[in-house]
Amino acid sequence: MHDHGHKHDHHDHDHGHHDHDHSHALYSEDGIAPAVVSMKQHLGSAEISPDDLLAVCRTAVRILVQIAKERDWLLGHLKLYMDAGDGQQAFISATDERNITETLSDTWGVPGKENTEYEVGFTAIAFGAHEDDLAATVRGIFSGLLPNNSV
Amino acid sequence: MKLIIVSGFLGAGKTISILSLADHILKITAKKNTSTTDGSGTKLVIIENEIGDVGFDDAMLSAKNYEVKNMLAGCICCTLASDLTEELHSAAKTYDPEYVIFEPTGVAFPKNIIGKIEAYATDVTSIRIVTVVDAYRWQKLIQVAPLLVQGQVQCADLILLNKADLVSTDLLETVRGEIRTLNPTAKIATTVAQTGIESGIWDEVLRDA
Repeated sequence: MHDHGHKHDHHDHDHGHHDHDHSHALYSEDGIAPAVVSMKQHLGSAEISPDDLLAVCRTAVRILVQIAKERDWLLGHLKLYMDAGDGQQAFISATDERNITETLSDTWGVPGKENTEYEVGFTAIAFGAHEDDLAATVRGIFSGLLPNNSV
Repeated sequence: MKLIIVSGFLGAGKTISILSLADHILKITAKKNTSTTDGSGTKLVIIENEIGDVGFDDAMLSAKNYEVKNMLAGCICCTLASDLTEELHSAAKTYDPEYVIFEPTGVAFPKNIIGKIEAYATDVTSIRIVTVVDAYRWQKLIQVAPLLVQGQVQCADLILLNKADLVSTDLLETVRGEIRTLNPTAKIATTVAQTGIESGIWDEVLRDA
């Protein structure tokens, strides 16, 4: 059990690329087993601007939604956040191409915050997918879009 | 301490509904207490149970200054109810909240949690279950995970028939009919949570809690 208190602090891991990438089977109480992939990593604003990071994440979500459709995976959901730890936060969630929502904090990408480090977190849950396929797909999408093939 | 469980399949709109409910509780509590409106005077705790190793919903809710606890779940198993019981006891001791909103993962049966909560969470005086149904994906989900989505509907006191804007009136009525068959007694409210939920719906939930 995790208790993050009043303010959730995402910066409790060592910084650096490829902080966390994990997939495993999840069994629900009626026996269905979706694949689950979670990923977390850090990117500095020197590597990618907030606008570009947001654009990358939007694109990644749309690509994964499209791939899921093509492979007949039922997406439980995709959830993605970007957090600079200073109030700059962006969230994207999706279940399919008609249902993608985005929430940005008022301070997201405000100029003058140079050398900011962004944490990007992502969870994808898909029924009908194998965990390894889902993990490889997620990794492939992000490594193709992010600088320095950092995933 | 009144417990409101907001259940529903993955992606149904649980978190956005919780945000609306929490905002409503904040408003009525502020009125009652003539307290602050920034959340600091609110006797409300939100407990999130998410799938995966990356917390998302708790970050989104914490950004609104709500008191949020996260139970990250790698899998659904019998430890959930005991973890929740422990979390409820801790919340009662630390914050003495009037309301606790609990969001189980989208693949959990609320019914399986309730028995243990009733037996062991002695701080909880009442439990209400709100189930959020994705009207747009209902017919697909009922094929993929029938026991789960049926179970989530059957135990609800209130059902939010959400994403009504993404379906035709005919389909909405079909889904409503199927839900009514599964749960003849629950109130069913049609919602587009993304654009807001009527406060009257929440008034009713809180009145009955």
